[in-house]
Amino acid sequence: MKKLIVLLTALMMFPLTGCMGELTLNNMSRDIAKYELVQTIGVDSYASDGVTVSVSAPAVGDDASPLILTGTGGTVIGALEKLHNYAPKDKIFYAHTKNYIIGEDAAKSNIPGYLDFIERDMNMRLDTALFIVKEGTAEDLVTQTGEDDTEITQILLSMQKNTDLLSDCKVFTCGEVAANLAEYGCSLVAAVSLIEAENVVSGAGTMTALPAGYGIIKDGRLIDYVDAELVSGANVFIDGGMDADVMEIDDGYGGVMAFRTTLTRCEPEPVYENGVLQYINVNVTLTANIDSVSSNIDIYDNAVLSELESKISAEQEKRIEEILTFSQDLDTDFLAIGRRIELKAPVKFAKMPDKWEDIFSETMFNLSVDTDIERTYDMREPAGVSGENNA
Amino acid sequence: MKTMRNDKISMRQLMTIAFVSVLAPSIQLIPETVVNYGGSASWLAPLAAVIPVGFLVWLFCRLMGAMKEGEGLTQLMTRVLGTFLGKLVAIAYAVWFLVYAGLMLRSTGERFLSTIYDNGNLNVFIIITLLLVIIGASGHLKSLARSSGVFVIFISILLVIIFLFAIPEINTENLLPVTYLDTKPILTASLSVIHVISPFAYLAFLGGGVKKDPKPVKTVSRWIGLLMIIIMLLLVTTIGTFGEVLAGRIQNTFFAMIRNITIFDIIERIESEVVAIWVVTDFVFLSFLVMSSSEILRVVTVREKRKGFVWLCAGAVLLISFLAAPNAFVLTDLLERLVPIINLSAVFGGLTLIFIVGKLRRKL
Repeated sequence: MKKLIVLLTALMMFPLTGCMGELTLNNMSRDIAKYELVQTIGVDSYASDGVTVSVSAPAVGDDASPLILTGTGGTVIGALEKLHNYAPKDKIFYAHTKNYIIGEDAAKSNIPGYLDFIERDMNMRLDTALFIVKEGTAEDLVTQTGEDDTEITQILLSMQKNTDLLSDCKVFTCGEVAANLAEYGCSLVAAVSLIEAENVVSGAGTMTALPAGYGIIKDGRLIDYVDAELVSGANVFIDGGMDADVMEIDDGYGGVMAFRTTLTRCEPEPVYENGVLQYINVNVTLTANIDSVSSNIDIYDNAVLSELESKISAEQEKRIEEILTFSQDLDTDFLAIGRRIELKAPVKFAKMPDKWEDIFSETMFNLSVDTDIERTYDMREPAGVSGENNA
Repeated sequence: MKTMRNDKISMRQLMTIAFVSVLAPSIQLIPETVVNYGGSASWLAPLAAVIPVGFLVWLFCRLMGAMKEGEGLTQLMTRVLGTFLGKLVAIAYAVWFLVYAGLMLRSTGERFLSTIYDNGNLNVFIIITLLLVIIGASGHLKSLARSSGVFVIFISILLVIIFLFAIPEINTENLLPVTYLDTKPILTASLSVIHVISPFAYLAFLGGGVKKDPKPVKTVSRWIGLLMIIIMLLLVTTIGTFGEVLAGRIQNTFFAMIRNITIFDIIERIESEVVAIWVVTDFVFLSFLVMSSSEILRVVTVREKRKGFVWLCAGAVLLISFLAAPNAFVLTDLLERLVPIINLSAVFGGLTLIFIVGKLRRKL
C-alpha cells in the first residue's frame, strides 16, 4: 500500500515540472524560444476610464526585429492579455519587464492605480524602473523610438547606466515610488521626453528618449516637474542621485573649466529650541576634479584653487536654494528632507508640536556648500602653454 | 530486529524537525504581521522575544525531562491531570493540531497559486501535499527526523544565498529610526515572533520517541536561537528592501523580495524555485502535526499502532482545509488573528498549567 502511494504521488509530481508541454498542470510549461520576452510596458489613459498599453520586446537573433504592440482595455492587465492574440510567437511573457512607462495624462490622473498592477501581479517585479513621459504618451515613446534592431528598452537601460557619468536624474523603481507614496504621500519619478535625435546620433530623424528631470507625484497624481536645470540641486538630496556630475564654470581668465563633481556629504541638521523646529542647516560637501581647462589658468596656485572652489560652491548653493524654494512653493517635500531630519533626531521630530507637513513650506534653511578640488587628470597644464608665463 | 530503543531519536534530531517546521509559518507571518505592529523598528522584535521564548525552551525541556521512558506529553498529562481530564485535554490539543494543519495545508496550496500557478487548481496542490504528509506521518519519527536533517542543509544553503544577494537591495534608512518610543510597538510585534516559534513545543507530544538528553536546554536553545536569528534576518532583509509600509502591505513579502534578486545580472526570477523548495517546510510541519495528533489518539484509545489514526487525521485535515475558509482572505484572517491566540494560549497557558499542576501534585 505504502509503495503504491509513493508511486502515485511521484507520478502526480510530473505535471508540476513544466517540462511536458500540454500534459503539464494548466499547460504552464515555458519554452523560452516560443515566448516574446517583453521588457518595456507603457501605459496611457484611454477614453474615459480605459487604458492603452504599449509593449516592446527586444529583437533576439541577427535578423530579428523588436516586437512592438499596442492595445486597449479597461485595466492594464486586461489590455496586456489581449495582446497575446497578436504575438507572432506562442505567448507574450511579461515576467522580465524592466521598464514601466506612464504617459503624462495617465500620470496626472491616478499613479497608484497604474502601480497596483506592478505591485499585485505575480509576474511583475517591484524593482522595475518607472518613468513618466513629459508632455507625451507612453505609446509614442514605445512605438516611435529606436530604429531597426534597437527599441525603447535599450535606450532606457542606457539612460540608467549613464546616470553614473551625468547626474541627469536618478531612476526610481516602482517599489521605491510605491513606498514613498505610502509613507510620505509624495515621490519623484524619472521623467523622459521623446525627441528627434538629429545632431545626437547617426540617422537624423530617429526618435529617441532623453532625461527630462523628475515628475513630482503628490496624492497619487503628477502635479509638476523638476525641470532639467533644477535636477542638479535636487540630486544632492537624493540617495544615489549624484554619483558624478560635470559642472562647467567660468574660470575668470577668459575660459570655461569643467569639473567632475561628486557628492561626499549632504546632511540637513535640524535646530530645535524648546522642542520647536527653528531652522535646518543644510551642510553640503562636494569633491571636484579638474577635467577640462581652456585658458592659461595656473591650477597649482592655491589662491586660484580657492577661488574656483568658492565659485563651484556658490553655483551649487544657488542650485540647492532654487530647488528648496520650488519644493516649498509647491508645499511638497519631494526631497524627503523630513525623513532625513527625523533620522537625525527621531524623538524630537516625533514630539514636534506641529506636524512636518504643516510647517515644511515655512521652514527656514541655512545653506552651506563646501567644495574641495582634489586633483586633475592626465594633463598638468593646458596644451600650448609653455614655461613659466602661464596666467 | 530493531528494538524500540534503536527507533528513538536524539534531542538534536527532534530540533531539526522543529527548525524546518517553524520556517513554514515564519514566512507566512513575517514580516507582514510583525511590521504592522512594530513599524520600522520591528526587526528588533526577535530580541524582545528572547525572554518568553527562553522560558518556553526551559518549560519544554522540563516537561521532556519529566517524561518516563517511552512517555510522550499525552501520557504525562494523564499522569498529572488524571486519566479522564488528561485524555480530554490531550484530545483538545489533537483537535487543535488538525485544525491548524488544515489551515496550513490550505495556505500551502494558496502560496503556489499566488506566487507561481496563478490559474492553477488549488485542490491539486492540497491533495498532493497531503499524500506526502500521510507518508511522512505514517512512518517512524526517525524517518521524519532524518528527512529534516537533510532539509536543514538545503534550506540553510538557500537562506545564505538569499540573504547574501538581498544585501545590496537593503536600504538601511528603512530600518531606522529606533528610539525608546518604539519599545511598546516592538514588544507588541514580538508576540508574532513568539507565536511563530511556539509550535516547536508541540513536539513534546512525540517525546516518547526521543532519547534523554543530558543537556537539553543547551541543545534546544542552540536551534531555537538559530531560528530567532533567521527570523531577524528575514525582518531586516524584507523591511530593509521595501520599507515598513510596503513590507506590511505585500502578500508573501519574502517571495516578493526574492523576486527582486538578480544574481550577477545573469540569473533572475528564482522565486519559483524557492517556493518549490520551501514546500519541504510545510511537509515537515504538517507531518509532525498529523503525527502528533495520531499519536495522541493512539495513546488515548490505548492502541498499539497509530497508522490507522494517521488516515483518520489526514481525512480531517483535508476536510478542514476545504471547509475552514471560503477564500484566501478569510484564510489569511484566520492565520493572522485566530491561530496566534490559540497557539499562544495552548503553549504558554496550557503547558505552563500542566507543569504547575504537576509540580503541585508532585507528579513531576
